[in-house]
Amino acid sequence: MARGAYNSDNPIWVAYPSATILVAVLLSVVPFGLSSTVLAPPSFGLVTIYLWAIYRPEFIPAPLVFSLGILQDFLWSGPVGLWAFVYLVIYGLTVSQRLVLIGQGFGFMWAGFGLIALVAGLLSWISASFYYGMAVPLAPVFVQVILSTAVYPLFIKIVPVMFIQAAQSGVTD
Amino acid sequence: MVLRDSQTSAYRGSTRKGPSRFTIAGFAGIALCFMLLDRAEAYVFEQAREAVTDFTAPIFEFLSPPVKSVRSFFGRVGDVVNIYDENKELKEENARLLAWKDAALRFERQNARYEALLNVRIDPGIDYITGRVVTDSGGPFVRTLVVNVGRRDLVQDGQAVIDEYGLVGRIWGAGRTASRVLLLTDLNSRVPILVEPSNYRGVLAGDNRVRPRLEFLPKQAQVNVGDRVVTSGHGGLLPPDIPIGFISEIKDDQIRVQMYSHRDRVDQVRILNFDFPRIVDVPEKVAATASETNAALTAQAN
Repeated sequence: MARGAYNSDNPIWVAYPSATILVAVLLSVVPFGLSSTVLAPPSFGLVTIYLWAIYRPEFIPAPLVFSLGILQDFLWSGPVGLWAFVYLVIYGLTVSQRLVLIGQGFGFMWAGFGLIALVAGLLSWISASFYYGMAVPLAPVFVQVILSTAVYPLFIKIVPVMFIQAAQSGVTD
Repeated sequence: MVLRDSQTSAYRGSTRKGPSRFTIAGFAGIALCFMLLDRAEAYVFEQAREAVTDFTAPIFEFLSPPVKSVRSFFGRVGDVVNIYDENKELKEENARLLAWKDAALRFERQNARYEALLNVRIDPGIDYITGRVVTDSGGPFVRTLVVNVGRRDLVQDGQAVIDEYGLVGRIWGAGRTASRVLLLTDLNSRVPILVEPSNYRGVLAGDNRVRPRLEFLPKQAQVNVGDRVVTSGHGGLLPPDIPIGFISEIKDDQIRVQMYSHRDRVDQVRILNFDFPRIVDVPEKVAATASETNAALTAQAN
């Protein structure tokens, strides 16, 4: 069966993925005191969206990703809609590739995320450049891609083992 | 990817309510429309922006004690690494400053005497509001902060924000209880400045890098690395003579300024409640003539 040992109708588990993304988005504006050294904060939201798009896409529907993206836009005080757009594209991209990624080793999925983060970075850069009508500096974007990829391992534990098992049993059995 | 039959049947269970491509594309389209709308008519989202700032500021304030300990940890690591160099620098600086202190005391006395002699009108003191930085809100394209004071505390758009070292930025979206601060380094930041000691005017323009650029200096301007940069007060938005930083690099046409305020250390800031001295003393005679002329003009127009 696709449903594992846990009851996926339990509202707490249904709300859990979106809650983690919300926390990740909020975390991205917390002043940890490194901003001037690193030019841009890592996008924690991107990491969580990637993970959930692989393991439980049906728990984070598109409207929810959109809303969390808009929240990210307001918090980062950039163009409204920019991160909503990027998050949705990344979400769609990851969902379309989830069967390739699911059940793969940690390294493969990490590399997958690195690629996704790069796509997100370039996409956000293109969108921002159009918005401001000039080529915005590219360095912060790369810094963000690298940092997001670097923090990825810290986040994999937010996906409970039973979610992973349930998702994998759906594909590999 | 094509699935084997056995996989599809088992898989179906977990994607029964899976996201459809059309929904994702639809919402991505809405996001793009939002961007266009924000670009064309920025005021549309202004209230929502303020609401989010107001609503989330208390959350971040609640989070701030643990965050502070993380910050101080990073700070301490830095301190330990730099301890010897810093000590040496501080000793040298201290020696220099002692000499300056003497000079300053002398100048102060001299200045007081001259002011008394000339009957100088001193600038009125500027009120300020102190706030704490609650978020470092800025992704890769924006340089802003959020402080925990807003319109309720008489904060208004455009007011100067300083820390103990110098100008940080200005208020850019005052909410009711929290406000966003546009940093000098942001792409959209332009501040009129003076370069001391030559007193050339210019504009300090951010471009999202750590050190903002000096623009619109006169062609013949002779500036050197180390020259001090202060606000000029032109335009009336910011008070004059707030220290900003010093010229750190002159390369080709680009002059970059190292700021005194250090974004990572910015914790408490002061928001200056500066009212540009608009009211000019007009001699009574002139004022009377002007009002007569005005009345005549209005009568004519009617």
